[in-house]
Amino acid sequence: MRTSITLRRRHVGINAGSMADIAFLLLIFFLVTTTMDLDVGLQRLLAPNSSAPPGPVHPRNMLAVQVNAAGELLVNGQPSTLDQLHATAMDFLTNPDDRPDLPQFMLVTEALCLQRMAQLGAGDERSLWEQRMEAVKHIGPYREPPASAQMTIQTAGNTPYAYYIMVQDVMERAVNDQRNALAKKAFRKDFSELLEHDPQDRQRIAAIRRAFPLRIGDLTPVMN
Amino acid sequence: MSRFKDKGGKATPAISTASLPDIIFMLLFFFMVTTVMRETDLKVKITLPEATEVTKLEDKALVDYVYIGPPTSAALGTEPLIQLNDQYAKLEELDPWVKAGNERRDEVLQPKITRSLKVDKETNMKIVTDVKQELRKANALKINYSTGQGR
Repeated sequence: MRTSITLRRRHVGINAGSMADIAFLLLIFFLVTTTMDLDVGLQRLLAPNSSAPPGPVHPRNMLAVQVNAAGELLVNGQPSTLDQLHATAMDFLTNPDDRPDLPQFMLVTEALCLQRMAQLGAGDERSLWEQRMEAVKHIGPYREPPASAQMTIQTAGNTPYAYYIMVQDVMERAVNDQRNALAKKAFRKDFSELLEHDPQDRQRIAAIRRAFPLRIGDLTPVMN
Repeated sequence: MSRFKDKGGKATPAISTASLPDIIFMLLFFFMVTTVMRETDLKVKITLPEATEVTKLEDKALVDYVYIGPPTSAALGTEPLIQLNDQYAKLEELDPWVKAGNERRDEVLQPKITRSLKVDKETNMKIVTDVKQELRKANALKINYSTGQGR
């Protein structure tokens, strides 16, 4: 009994000299078992594997890009560079001069939405017009591309993956540039600055996506 | 003058190492917070292509990885192979792999699973297209082309 009391009173410092070594071991363990690489990439939605093949698309509604094994591009049959592809895609997304070889856009205004909603009963078609109405409230009258308008990529069987990603990237940049321009005009902000979890911003994002949808499809590669 | 008198200069005082553990612990916590656990041992060599318009994969728990690239061991040749989980796989094994990935998660979360393709940039598009076709058949439509952050 007496000894335990005396022990408690006497202060014995713990030797902390090996603490650093222990911490070092832990540190090295974490360095080895973990990675620092951020997981980033291009996110896409594949077309559903429906049994019915899609109907023919009018050529004006398609921006067809072909890439061969050497990374050379054919945009709608014309040889072109990546910068030219970007410019072509920007035109394709807006058709500013109403050219007959680019998609025919529909000007969506509040009056048009009200008119169509009055004509239609409840259903998918009506809810689509309600969504357009919602978009008009946020970004004002806008031009909407036809539902079948899309950019497609076709590769050869031996095209390196890097070239495919390069084309995907340029196409997405064109869409993002258009979205940014619209967001700047309507909200004085970049599109990426709009926050997904903010209720108002979410509706703004939906409106901008309606005007500039990201539609990039794949065509069956040419095997050789 | 006696103040500046040389006191001998033989014994320099020992540097206190008492704060060394604290410094190391700080480093340790930094690494614990900024890094993530390695998910698999790579059996294929992968150099990711670069892209600028990238988005970050937000929920790591809802991502499954498909690796495609030339095998790391030279004995297996240089033709690109597919790696699922910890082993090489054939095209036909993608469908059961997708189903297994679905079954591991709650039904509500199943449509939110992303399949991330980590593909070597030199790989031919043929194998990538075949994999994508298999994913479509298995109804795994949300995919991510994993890339490096360009510029």
